[in-house]
Amino acid sequence: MKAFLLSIAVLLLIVAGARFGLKPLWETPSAVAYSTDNVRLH
Amino acid sequence: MKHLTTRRASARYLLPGIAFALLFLAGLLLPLEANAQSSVRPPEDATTSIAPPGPPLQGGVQGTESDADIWRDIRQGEVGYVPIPDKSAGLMIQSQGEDWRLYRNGPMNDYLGYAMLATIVLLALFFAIRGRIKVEHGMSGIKIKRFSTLERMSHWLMALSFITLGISGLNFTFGRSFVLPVIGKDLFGPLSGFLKATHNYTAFAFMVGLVLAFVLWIVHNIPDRTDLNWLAKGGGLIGKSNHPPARKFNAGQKLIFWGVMLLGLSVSVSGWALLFPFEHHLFTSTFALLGNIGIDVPAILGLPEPPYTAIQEQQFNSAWHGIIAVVMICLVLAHIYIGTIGMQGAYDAMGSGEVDLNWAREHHSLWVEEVMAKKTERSSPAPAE
Repeated sequence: MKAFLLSIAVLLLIVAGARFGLKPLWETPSAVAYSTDNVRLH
Repeated sequence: MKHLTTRRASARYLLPGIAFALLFLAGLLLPLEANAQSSVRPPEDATTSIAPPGPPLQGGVQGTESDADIWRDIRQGEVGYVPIPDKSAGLMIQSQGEDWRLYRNGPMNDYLGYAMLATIVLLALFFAIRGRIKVEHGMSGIKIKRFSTLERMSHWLMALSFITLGISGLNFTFGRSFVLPVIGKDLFGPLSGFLKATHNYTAFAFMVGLVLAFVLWIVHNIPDRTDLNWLAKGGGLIGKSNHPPARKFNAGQKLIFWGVMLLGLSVSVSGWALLFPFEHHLFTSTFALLGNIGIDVPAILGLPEPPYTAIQEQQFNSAWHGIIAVVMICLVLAHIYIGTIGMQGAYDAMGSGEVDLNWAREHHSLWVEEVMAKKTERSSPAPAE
């Protein structure tokens, strides 16, 4: 039971770490996404 | 008099009727252009087309003209010019995408579904015929340590993340067909969004679990001579008093281990390429590598010739990821079966980490001997010289 609960804790830790670590990589802020460097409207 | 009145009344309705019929016929016979004429006359210098000055554009700027050649080129993947940094946006129609979509929604989904159903049916049949494999000599009540806390934690980390990935992944493939009709669009949309995010982030937990399990168990999973004997006897699954000797892991468990490791590596790599799209060319590289040793995979599978575009790589990755994941699901279903209802005493190994001595002697006799020998070594100190 101890190992099982520990695995849940580790799993949640990794998921949370990945969520916060990769957020800036996977989700581009609108200020960057719509900047003139990224989008040219002419 | 009465007769005359009736005749006049008939003539009164007959004339307008004839006039209406003539007008109707005239309307049918008039040229269509006449029908389209507007009562508003445009000025003499009015522009009748919104086409820009210069030579006429191919296809017509209003799209009113059909140009078979230009549309055929677009349909076949002709890349046009776009003024944005992402030049891949110039590809209006990626023709192979339709092939991928038809394959994914058609035979791929069908066969993957059949494979999982067949696995469940086979396991149920096996259980019905063989029943639960019991400890022949009964439980001794003496426990022997089989797996440490770290080993079990790694196993459960891999297991829990795999189940989460399996449920969320199957929703991508079969959710639209089976879940959507039951729970409706309003719930299916947010649920699928949540499961997609869960799938993406849980993937890392699975990879960590996979690496941990590999490091902890590789030494016990190197094939040896005992495995041949174990396989020859069918692992003792059929018949009684037929338990071939095995070390910590028998040949069946070694097959599961290597299956999970290799398929897990493959599903992780293809999943990584899906998480970070358009950055890898796994299929072009792999097919080139196999081509060098004489295996022409595209020709065998009837695929287009490499090199593949970034979007084609994504499509192959998506299909491969789904196929490998379902093969793993089938393998893991068999593993879960034998570790729970299929065999008495087997679950304790991952539950408490301790197994019954009689169970261990029947299924892993060589391992029990090794453990006992080590215990004896520890309990009897080496004689002083």
